[in-house]
Amino acid sequence: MRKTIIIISIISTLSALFLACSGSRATIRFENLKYPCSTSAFLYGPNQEIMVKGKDLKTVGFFQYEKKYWGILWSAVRLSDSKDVMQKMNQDIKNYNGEGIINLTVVAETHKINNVIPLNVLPIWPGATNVKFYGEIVRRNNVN
Amino acid sequence: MNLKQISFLLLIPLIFLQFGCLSTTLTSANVTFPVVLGPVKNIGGQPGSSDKLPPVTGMFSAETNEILSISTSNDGKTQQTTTEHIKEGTNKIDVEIMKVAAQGNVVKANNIQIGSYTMVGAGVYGKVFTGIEGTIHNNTPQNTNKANSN
Repeated sequence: MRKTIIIISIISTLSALFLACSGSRATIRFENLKYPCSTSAFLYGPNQEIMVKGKDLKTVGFFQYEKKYWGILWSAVRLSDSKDVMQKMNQDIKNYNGEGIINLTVVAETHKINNVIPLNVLPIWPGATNVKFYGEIVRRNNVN
Repeated sequence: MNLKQISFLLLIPLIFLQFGCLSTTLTSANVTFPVVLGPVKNIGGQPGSSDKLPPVTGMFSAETNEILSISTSNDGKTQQTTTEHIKEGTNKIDVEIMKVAAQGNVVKANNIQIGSYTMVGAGVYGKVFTGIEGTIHNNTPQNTNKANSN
């Protein structure tokens, strides 16, 4: 019995070492946004009508933010949250006197720390993803 | 140090550089209606307004990614290195949403997922991804059969 446990432990450890990966992942829910936001070029207006950039909406500024999402234990443990992204979105919309964000775009890039071989097979080695957020801050044409 | 060890050591900086350049983009700029993100549905709306939507008639999820894998095999005489590179276009998100939603539906994105990792095993495998999940809302029940989940 003891021998079996030792063998299973060795196999598990070796599997973890040779199939391990370093990285990070995140799920962003945007639950603290105070303004409407869309990943397309359209927004709903006050009366639920569809408003489009150019015709009903004008761009008053651009939102841009970059952050790193960190993870550890082969990306199973998430070390970063997204509160700062929403704070920045709310702040920028307010600063530009906007009413919402359209064309929200998210660009994810691998971080070079994921590629430090052989250290990246260790569960304590951190992983990261660079994420850039872009968007257009808009306001209705007929509102000053 | 033999030739195999030297070639592996030479490969490390290449892996470091190549796998550090993977990127993918999430957007739905070609969708012809709003894709609501967050708790505010409309201009002037209060937080929570996007929770009071018509009944859910469908779901969607889509992911774009870039994958790079490098593996080597050795038959005793020759060593072969295989590289595979896949990069999906950003239009994939537009297509997935437009497949399940029609004009007049309310499309709500519940979350956006991002991540990247590098896996070392028999070779090296790197992946970066962005994804979106959401629901389709409509008052008309006949839309139900059109919407499906991915």
